[in-house]
This record gives sequence, C-alpha cells and structure tokens, in this order.
Amino acid sequence: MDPIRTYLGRLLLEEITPVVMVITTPLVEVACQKNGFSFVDMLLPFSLFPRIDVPVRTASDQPYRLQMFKLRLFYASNIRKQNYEAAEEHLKRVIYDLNEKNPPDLLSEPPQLETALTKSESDLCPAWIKTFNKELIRTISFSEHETFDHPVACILVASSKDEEPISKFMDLFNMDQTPPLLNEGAMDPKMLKHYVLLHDNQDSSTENAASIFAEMKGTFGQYDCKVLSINSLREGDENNNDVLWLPYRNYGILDHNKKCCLNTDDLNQIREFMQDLATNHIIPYMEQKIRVLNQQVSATRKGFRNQIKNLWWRKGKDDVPEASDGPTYTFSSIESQIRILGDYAFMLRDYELALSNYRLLSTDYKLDKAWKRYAGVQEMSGLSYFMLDQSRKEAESCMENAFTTYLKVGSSAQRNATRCGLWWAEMLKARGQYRDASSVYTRISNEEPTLHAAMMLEQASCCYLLSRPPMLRKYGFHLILAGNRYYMSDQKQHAIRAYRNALFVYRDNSWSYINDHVHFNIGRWYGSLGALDVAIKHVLEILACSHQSQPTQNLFLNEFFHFVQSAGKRFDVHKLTLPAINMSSFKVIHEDHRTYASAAEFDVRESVWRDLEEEMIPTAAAIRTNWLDSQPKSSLKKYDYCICVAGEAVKVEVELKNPLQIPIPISEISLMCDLSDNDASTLDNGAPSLSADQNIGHMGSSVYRLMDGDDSLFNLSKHDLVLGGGETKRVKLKVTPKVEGILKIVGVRWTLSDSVVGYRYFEINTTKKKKANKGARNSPGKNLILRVMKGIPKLEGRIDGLPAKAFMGDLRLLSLKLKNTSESAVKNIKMKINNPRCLIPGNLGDDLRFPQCLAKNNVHEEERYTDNKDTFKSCLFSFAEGNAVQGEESFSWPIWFHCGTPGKVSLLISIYYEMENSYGGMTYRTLRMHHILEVLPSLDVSFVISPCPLKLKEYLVRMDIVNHALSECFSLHQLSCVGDKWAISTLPSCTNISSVQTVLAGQALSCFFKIQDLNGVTNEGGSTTHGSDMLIATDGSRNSLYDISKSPLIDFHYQERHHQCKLSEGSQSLLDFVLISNAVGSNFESEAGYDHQFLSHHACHCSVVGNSSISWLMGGPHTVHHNFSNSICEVDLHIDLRNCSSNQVNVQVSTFDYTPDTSQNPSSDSNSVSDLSTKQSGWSDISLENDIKVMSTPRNIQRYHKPTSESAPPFVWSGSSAMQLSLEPACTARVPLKVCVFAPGTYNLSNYELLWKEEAAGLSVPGTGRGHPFYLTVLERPHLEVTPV
Amino acid sequence: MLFKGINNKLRPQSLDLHQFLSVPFYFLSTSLTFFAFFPNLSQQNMIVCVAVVGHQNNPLYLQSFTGSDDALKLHHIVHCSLDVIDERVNNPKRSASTLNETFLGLLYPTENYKVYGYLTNTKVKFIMVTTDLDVKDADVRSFFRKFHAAYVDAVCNPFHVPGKKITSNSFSERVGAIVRSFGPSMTL
Repeated sequence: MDPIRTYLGRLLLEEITPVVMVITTPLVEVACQKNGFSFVDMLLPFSLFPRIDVPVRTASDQPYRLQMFKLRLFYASNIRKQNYEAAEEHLKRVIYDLNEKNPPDLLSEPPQLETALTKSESDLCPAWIKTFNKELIRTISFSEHETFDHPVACILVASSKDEEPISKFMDLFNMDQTPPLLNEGAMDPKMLKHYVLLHDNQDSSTENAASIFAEMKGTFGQYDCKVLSINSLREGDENNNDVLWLPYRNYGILDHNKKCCLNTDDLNQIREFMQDLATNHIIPYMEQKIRVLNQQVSATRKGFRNQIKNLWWRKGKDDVPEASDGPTYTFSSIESQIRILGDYAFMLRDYELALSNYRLLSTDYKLDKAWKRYAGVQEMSGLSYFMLDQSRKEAESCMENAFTTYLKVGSSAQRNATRCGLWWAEMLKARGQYRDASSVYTRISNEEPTLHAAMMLEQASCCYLLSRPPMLRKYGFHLILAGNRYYMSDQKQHAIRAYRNALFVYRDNSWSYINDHVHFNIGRWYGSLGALDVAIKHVLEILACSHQSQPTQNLFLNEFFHFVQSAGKRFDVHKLTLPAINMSSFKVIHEDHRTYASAAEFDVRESVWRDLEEEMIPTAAAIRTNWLDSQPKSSLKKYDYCICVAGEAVKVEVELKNPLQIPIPISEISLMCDLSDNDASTLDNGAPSLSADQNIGHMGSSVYRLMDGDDSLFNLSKHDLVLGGGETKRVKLKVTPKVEGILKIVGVRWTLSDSVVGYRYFEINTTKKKKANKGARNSPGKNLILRVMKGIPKLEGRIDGLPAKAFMGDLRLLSLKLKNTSESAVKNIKMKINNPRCLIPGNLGDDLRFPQCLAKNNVHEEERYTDNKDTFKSCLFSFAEGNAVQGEESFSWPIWFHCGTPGKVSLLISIYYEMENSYGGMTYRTLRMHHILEVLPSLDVSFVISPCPLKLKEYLVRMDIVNHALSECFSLHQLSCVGDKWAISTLPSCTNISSVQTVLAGQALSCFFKIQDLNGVTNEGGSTTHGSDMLIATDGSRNSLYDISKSPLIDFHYQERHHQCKLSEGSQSLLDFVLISNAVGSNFESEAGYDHQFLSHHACHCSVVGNSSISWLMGGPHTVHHNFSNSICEVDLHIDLRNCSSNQVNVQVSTFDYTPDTSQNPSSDSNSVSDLSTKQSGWSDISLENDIKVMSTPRNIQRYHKPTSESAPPFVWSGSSAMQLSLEPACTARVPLKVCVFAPGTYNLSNYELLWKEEAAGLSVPGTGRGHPFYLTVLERPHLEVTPV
Repeated sequence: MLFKGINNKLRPQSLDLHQFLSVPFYFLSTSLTFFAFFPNLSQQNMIVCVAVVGHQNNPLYLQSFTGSDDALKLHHIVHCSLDVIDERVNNPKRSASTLNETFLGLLYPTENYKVYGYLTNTKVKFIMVTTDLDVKDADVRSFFRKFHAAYVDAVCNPFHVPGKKITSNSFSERVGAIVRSFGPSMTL
C-alpha cells in the first residue's frame, strides 16, 4: 500500500510542512478585517498546492518532482510553545465546538451486532475524534527539539497606508513579536525573508503603493518584495460572489456579518503570490539549505574517522551533570544542524536522506542522554521508515522506542508521547494491525486526562471491532471504559453514546452484571439529560434483576420510579417484568353447560367428570359434540369456540412472581378483554395481530380501549395485592360479559406502585403446547376466544357441614344446598356421586335429629332393608320427580356422610338439571362439586372368632381395638351383629366390661364376647335377651341402643361390606359386626358443630379362625345307669358335624376299639390325658401345638397306657365303624353312634377319628382329626329297676 | 513506575486494567455498589477469581475471593479474557502438540493481575485471575486439573441442568478449598 494514500501519509504531508512566519503591521490587519478575517486567514486557502509539480533536487543529484505541497502560515506571536493550561483550554474549546457542530445522535436505535460488524472505520469512530487528534497534536507544535515547526521563511507585511513602510519592515522583524524560541537561540534567525506591501484599493489609488514598492525593491532586493492589492470590489459588482468565496467557506473562516470586498483579481493575485512564494522561494531555499548542511555534515560526521572522533568527543562529556532533557543545543550546534537537515529532507520528501540523518542523530542524542530529542528523532525515523514503506519492524520499533522514551522523560514530554502514540497507532492501522493499534490507544489513554483518555479508549474499541476476527468483548469493555471517562469529564452525551454502542455485546449473553450496569447507567444519564422516555426504557430492561443484591434492586427500582414520576405521565409498558407472569400457569375457567361450584372442580380432569356423568346426561353424543351442532349456522361450527354465558364470570388464573427481594405493590390487576359481535371469520386474526402490533412497540388507540375496558359490555374484576420478596401468588381474574357476542381475552394489565401500568398479551401460540394437561378440553388457544350466549339459569350448590378432616368411621348428616340464581326454573334434578361409600343421599322426609333418628325404637317397628344391597351401586340419585327449583329459590337435601377408610378421599358430585324453558339449544347443565377431605385413622377394630368347643352354635369372639388417633379418645357405645341370625352377649365370667368403654389414644385392648347362631333356633327361652346388639356403654339404657338396620347405617354397611369383600377373599364369611363409638374430647367438635361425634366401624365378613375345616362335637348322655347284671349297656351317642370351610367337604367318621399305638401317635392321647389333668373350665380351644410340653413327661404316657395295653377295653363301638357323608359349606350333619359298655365306670370315648377331604378349586385337601374327649359315666343300677336305655 | 511503559512494551496485547482500576471509582461505587476500590494488595499470592464459562460464552460460575464487592470488575476481566481464548483456540498456527492441550496458559497480564485460561474438550472455559505475578505455570496447571475434576463432579450431578449456572454448594466449597490450597503451596 502506498504510504501517501494512507491516512497517516496524508496527515504527515499536511502537518509536517514548512512553516512560514507572518509579521504584519496593524494597518494590514485593519484592511483585512474589512472582509472579516486576518491576513493569515486570507492567505490560508491558498497555502495548499494540490498540483504544484515542482522539480526538487536535494543532496543527491537525482531530481524528482513534488506533486503536492503545503505551507503553514503562522503569526510570529503564535509561534511559541503553548503552556499546558492554555493547551487544555484550547482543546476544551475544540471539543465544545465539535460537539456543537456534530451533536451525537442519541435517539436512534443503538447499533446491532450485524450492523456494527459491517461498518467501516470512519462510521465507527466519529469524524470529530480525528479532528480532535489533529488539534491534540498541534498543541505541541513549536517545540525546541523539533525543527520542522521552525519557520523556514518569514513574510513581513506592511500596508501602503503605513508611514515610512521601509522602516516599518525593519522594525517588524526586530520587535519583540518574534517567537521566544528564536530569542533563546533554538531557532535559526537567518531565515528567508519576504517583504509584502499590502494595498487596500478602497483607501487610495495604487500610485502611492507603487512608489513605496519601488522603494522596497531598492532596499530589500528585487525578488523578495511583493505587492498585494486587495478590497478591489466595487459597489454593485457582486456577481458570482459565492463561487468566489468558496475556498474560504471550506476553511470555515468566513464571517457572514462582514461584507466581502475581494474580487476575482484579488484572489488570483493572492494565489499567484503564494504559488510564487512556494515554488520560487521556499523550495529552492530549502534545497539550498539541504545541500549546504549535507556537505557540512558529511565533512564533520560522515566517514570512519569522524565517527571515531565523535565517539571519543562524546565520551569525554560524560561528567556533564545530567539535565532532564539532556544538554541544551543551540541552532548552530551540529546536532541541531543535522536535525534541520533531516527535517527539511523530510518536508521535501527525501525520506532516505532524512532517515540517514535521523539515525546519525539518534546515536548522538542517546550518548548525550538527551532523551526527549532522542525520542523525537526516533519518532521521525519511524515515520520515515513508514513513508519509505520499508521494514515495518524497524518503523514499529522506532515508534515504540520513541513512545517509551517520551514516557520516560516524564510530564514535559507527555503530550509528545501522545502524538507519537497517535502516529504509531495510525501506522499500525494503515497496515491492518488493528489489535496492536488498539493497545497503543489504551496506552495513550493512560497518559492523558480523562476526557482525552475517553476518546483514546473509544478509538481503541473501534480498533478491536475492526480487527479480524473482531474482538467484541474487548470492544465492549473499552467502550465502557470510555463511557465511564466521558461521564467523569462531564460529557454525558458521549458517555451514553459509548455505552449504547457497547450494548449489543452484552445483550444476548447472560453477563447480566455487566448488562445491568450498562443499562442502568444509560438510563440514569438519559434521565439527567431529560430524555425520560429513553431512560425509562433502559431501566425497564433491568428491573427484574433477581441476581442482584437487595440494595441494588432497590436502587434500580427507585431510579425507575423517580423517572416515571418526573415524566409525570401515564406509562403503559408492554411486557413489564415486574411482576413476572408465569404464562405456563395460566388457566381459563369458563362455564358452558358444565358449571362448577368452585375453582377446585376445574382441576379434576374432564374425563373423570365425563365418566361420572355418563349415565346422567341424556346421550353420550351430547357431550362429545358441542351443543352448537344443533344450530343451523355452519360457520359457527367451524370455529369451535368455547361457550360462556352472559352474566356469568369467566375466570382466568394467572401466577404472578416477584423476582426481587423487595416487596412490590401491585394494584388494579385486571384482564384486557374485547367483546364484539363480529363475525367469527374476523376474529380469527384478531388476537394475534394485536399482539404482533405490540411486539414492535406500537401503541394504538385499541390498546387504550383494551386496557380501560368497556363497562357497557363486560365487567372486569380488579385485584390489589403486595408481592413480598421472591413471592409467587396466584390471582384469579374475572370478566363478566353482559351481552351476547364474541369475547376475546387479550391480556392482563396491572399497575405497579400506582405509577406504571404494565400489560401483557396472552401469547396463544406459546401456551398451546404447555397446557396439554387439560386433556380433552378445547384447544387452549381458543379458550381465550369465547362465544357469549344469552343468560340461562344456573344452580349454585354447596354442601354444608362437610369437614376438611374427619375420623375414620365418622358418620354425619350433611345438607346439600342448591340455589337457583336465575329467574327461570330448573327441573329434573339428578345427582351422581363418585364415592357412595362416603356419601349417600338421604330422604327428604328423614328424621333430621341425628343421631337420635337412629335410636332403636321398639314401638314403631320399621320394615327391614333386606335385599337392597345393589340399590346404590349405580350411585345415580334422582331427586323427587317434579322437584323443580323455581327462580331465586333454594332447597336443601340431606346427605349422609361416612368415612370408611383412612386417607385422602376425593368426592366428586355432579348435579344435572334441565331448563324449564329451552334456551338456545342448551337444554341442561351440570353442576360439579369436588371436595377433598382427609380421613384420619381412629379405632381399628378386628375380630377373631373361634368356635366354642362346647357348643357347636356358639362362638367366642375376641374384639381387638387399637386407637390409632393421635390424641383422640373414643368411648365405645355399642357392638352389633348385622342381621337377625346372630345374638351377641357378654361372657358370663366377665359381664362387667365397663372398664373398657373408653379407649385412649394409642391404647390397644381386647375384649371377649360370645355369639350364638340363631339359625334354626326359633325363639328358645331367653334368646330375646341376647339380641343382635350389645350395649357397651354403662350409662345408657337399653333405649340408647342404635338400630343398625336403619338407614343410613345399613346403607353404609352394605357399602362397607361390598368393599371389604374384596379384602376377605378365600375365607368363609360368617357375620358382620358394627361397632358404634363416640369421640370424647374431640378436637373437631367446634368445627363440626356436633356435641359428640358418632362413629360407626364396620367389620364385615368375619370368619371363624381355625385350621380345621370341620368342627364336630360328640353328643349324648354323660351319665347312664345300667343294670349290668342283665345285659351290657348300650349307649346312643351322636356326632354333630359342621362344615366351617367355604367348600364342600367329604367326611368319614371311623371308630376303633383298640387303643392307638403310642409310638404311632403319642401326642394325641397324651394330650387328652393332660387335658384331663390340667384344664379346668375346658372351654378353651384344644390345640395340638401344646404337645411339646407333654412330651417332656413320659411318665404320664406310661401311666395312661399301662392299663390299656394289659387288658381288653371296657367298651366297644357298635354299629357301623365308618360312615361317610358329604357336607355343603356351613351345613351341619348329625352322625349317630353307639357304644357298648361292659362294666360300670367312666370312659373316655375319644377313640374315633375323622377323615375329610375338602374340595377346594379342583384340589382335594385331606385332613384328619382325632376324637375329642367325651366322658361317659356308667353306673350300676339297682337290680329292681330294669330299664333299658 | 518509570519502567511501566517498558513492561507494557513487552506485552503488546495486554489489556490495561491498570488504568481501569487507578481511576477513582467514586462514581461507580456510589451508583453501583458492586464496583469496588482497588483490591487489597496485602492479600498477596492469592487467586482473586475463578470462573466457568460455557461453550456459548455464557457465565456458568463466577466466584470472587477478594471479599470485597467487585463482581462487576471481575465480570469484565473474565468477559474480556474470552476474546483472548477465542483467539488462541482459533489460531491456525497452533502446533500439533498444543492442539490437544487444555491448558491455555497466561491469557493476558496486567499490572495487578494475571489471567490464566483452560479449555475443556466440551469447550467449557475455566478462567483464573490471580494477583500473584510470578506464579509458576506448573502450579496453575495443577490447579486447573483439580478444578476440572471438581467441575466434572458438579456437572455429573443429575440435578444439574447442562448449560445452566452451577449452583451446587458442594462445588463452591470444593472450589474454595482448591483455591485456598493454591496459596500456601506457593509459599512453600
């Protein structure tokens, strides 16, 4: 790349050019001021020669041509080094002017990533920064150590009106106007002088001027004198004035208030003058000087001998005290001469010559430790390398060397370092090394005051973006740093600009800390600049900063409210992030033919309700297809909208979450709805287009209409609440349409802290998938568009007295209250309950004095429920026929409640009703109620029934009660057997069981009863006293017994029986028990409102415990008197057999006369003996498991067996020795037996055996049983009485 | 201070946080409390910050150990270092030996910090900022190895959602332990 074409190349060509010092007399300035500018300004447009085309020959003999040339004109008074404060002041003014000219564009959209990457450098970095850079560089012009700012020529100007212009010319140069550097000796006073006589044509004729000019020529020489006549414009001669002034306008030095007095001739004269000055005077002068100096340098410094000499000479100066900027050099010193030579060569673009001189010089300065000069020379050699486009490495190292050396020198050369850095950075940029350039900029920014540093950082950030690949993060970071510094130097607009440009770096990423900082500061600065709208917009972005600490959140929020209040107008913010709305949680509850008692019903799946209502609702098809089917309009059918009824609220549940740790007050939460009687086709696009509008920030009038609602069409509910830190609340919003039409639920709005209105549209597309859990209901998106139909009757219902918690066994009377809220009547009310085990509807005529209505009433014997077991299985209950509920009426119906099992019980009740008058095709509605209640465990009752060994039809019952309740005590009231077949009684030995009437929490107890099978026993004596009920409570009389055969106890019993039969598979059921108890000291009394709680526990399908499936008992006389003298004694006996199993059993009874072998079966016999000796009462169950104990006493066995083994048995069985019969389940049979006794005595008739086979499910399970002991005492009878048995 | 510039010369691509930090932060610290003053330099030889950055350059975990409230500054440092990591990883001139190297070495030095990087095979980056200016590479390497193990254990947690921030307390504790063990081993 041609260095000349780069920015830096052009910059150097413009900035490092010969300086021309101008000294004028005051009258000259007066003449120029007529046009509104100074003399220098007048010449300025003509000091640049784009195509000068001058041949130049410097040190070498090879001439070359200069194409472009420029002279820098300065007044002598300005050729001085600016002090720091003045420079700062100047730069400040420059920035101010630049700001005025190019105010930053703060209201447009901040740039995006894609656009930022495609921008060129000039777009990225504002042009005024370049201008500023130039100004910054210019502040260090005219330094002593650099000679390219030293004037090459001097123009002395006097006016023709001046008196004695010749002496004026003399005085001008000798006056103290001359620059201080010249006086100090740093500058060469021997410079090219040019004498100009300025003639104002308006003042006088040219004759006077001509004479003075002639005199000048005589005094100063012919070539160095010029005359310029200006202000030749006559009155009325103002044609093409604008074109004429164009050069001045381009330089921006035209003052519009002044009238221009120059005409074309004047300007041409000036142009010619400048051209002549450059080509004929300055350039030849410089060539001349270069040649002279070059010769001089060659003579003294070039060559080996000179170098050695120089080195030695320098070494000798080591003891010179080291000044901060090295020794001072005058213009006549050889170093300064070399420097001038280099600079002149540079200005005439003989870079080779310049470079060789700079290199020569740099070693000298280095040895002299003149660091500032050394740095300056290094800088220039770096630039020379660049302009030669040679050795990039050398160029960079020179620049770096210069930069660091300037820094080393300290504050005096700080600005030089900046200039060097700027050039260096430009050099790197010209070669595409943007990343290196940016690091140079950052290094400059260290050395500069904050505002300059900000600009340097901004340039650095641009370089990061321009580097390939772009380093976006560094770009952002440096912009943030720059913005920070802009802010500190009170340039808020630029701070905003920098931050805004950085926004896109942090936007997509989750670097939220940085993003928050950027947005917040932009917001604040906008706020302080008064652009509150934009400020609010930025602060809004970071409101929901859940990751920040609480003070920071507070700060953001306060700032936000502050802006909103200062803005003083209503803000409607779409998608306000406070509070966050959980769209996936949102739910629409609307009632068509299905109505709900509360929102809880809506959570139950539709299919559950559908199953429940299956039998109740007229036809299955009616629920599958919409009622709209009956309508002739097919268009409506196509848009299968949900239905709602005018006057009935549609509820929308929305979850609001506060992401902050600060509580936020939210008020006036309501829905945004639109009700229209539009045709359905237009509706289809309605809601989506609205939300699309909002997405692009458009705020139409429709939004205001939506937000404010329309009272004539629908009512909106409004909620106020305060969300605590991190809290989530569910809000139920209602809209009640008043007229028919199409209701669209568009969104939700709310007011945050009474100042900001936020709103959000429900996004149909996104919610569609998330709400799949609603099952077969209409597609969720369509839930938001509802067809409102004319008001129809509606029943409201509730169940009074239903507890949330109940004990197991709790029996209560509840009442179902139904209210018709409309004016029309409804009829044909039916009800279905999913859980008839828990809820049974009563009868309207029922005695409602519970539990007195259950008391046993002997006087009024009611008919027994006998075979209505299946009545309630269907659970469909129709209220009395013709039971129409008129408008505004209510009625109640008793419902019995009983909890069977502990755990959570879900009760679903659906009530069906029909309209008295048909409304628009909707002929019926259903009211759905759903209750969930917790059933706590209370008494756990279990029964163990064992057969009584003495009586076949009596059983012993052990009742085990465990109180599982945590703190509740229960008093036992009554134990009843269900049905007439059983009588229950206490055991004679323990009649007093009052000690067990109260069961404490956690207590377990057992008590024993006897039950008697009344089957076949018809009204035997005393059986009436043993009824099927037994009172356990002592304080009650017989009348306080409850009749378990009354409804609802018997109904619930059948339900329990139905459910418990599943559990008791396999064993044969014998009877059911009902235990009635009351809760004592109930915790739930107050809640339930009862004095005491009535609990009934149902234990069904109790069966006899025992491992044998056959029970038997030998019967017959125990004592027989017989006259053995006549005959042997024959005694009739019998065995009663009972089948205890649930299967048919084949039984064989066999008797044997011999004593069983001891070795074969010792246990059986010994058992009998031990029973004989140990057992007293004898009613306890004989179990074979006791034999271990007996085995340990072999003596007993011996005692028993001795007589039997030695002698013949004293009795023999007569009759058939084996009988076989088949027994059906629960049947009894009697087997007759006969025994012959040969001698009086007491005999144990246990030597018989039962063998049976139980036919269970195809298998035959065999079993055996030894005879129970039966003692027969035969006594010798007196001879006189002969009585056969 | 005289040779500050020369130091900089040797690190052409250094990000000069020095100037970022040396500027009085009164404005930021009043506006945003998370901008802190200069870190406590008495706590020498310590790790200032460790960070885990996901493969989409999203921060997964960033823990500061200075005790002061300088989250924003560290966020900036870590965020900027991602540029250097990108550059290193995408550098076509990487030799075969470094191609499979997870340890990225010194990302950029500043006046007060050194930033080291580490890249896992799943393009998750670990970044460590230390105030120890003459730390040995081997120590940093072993630190990252331990840190990587801790990270692997943390993401093996079935309750961790890949790509989301690591919120595990045990990971924090373990990282804290690794960081604490880094300091003393250096003084030995």
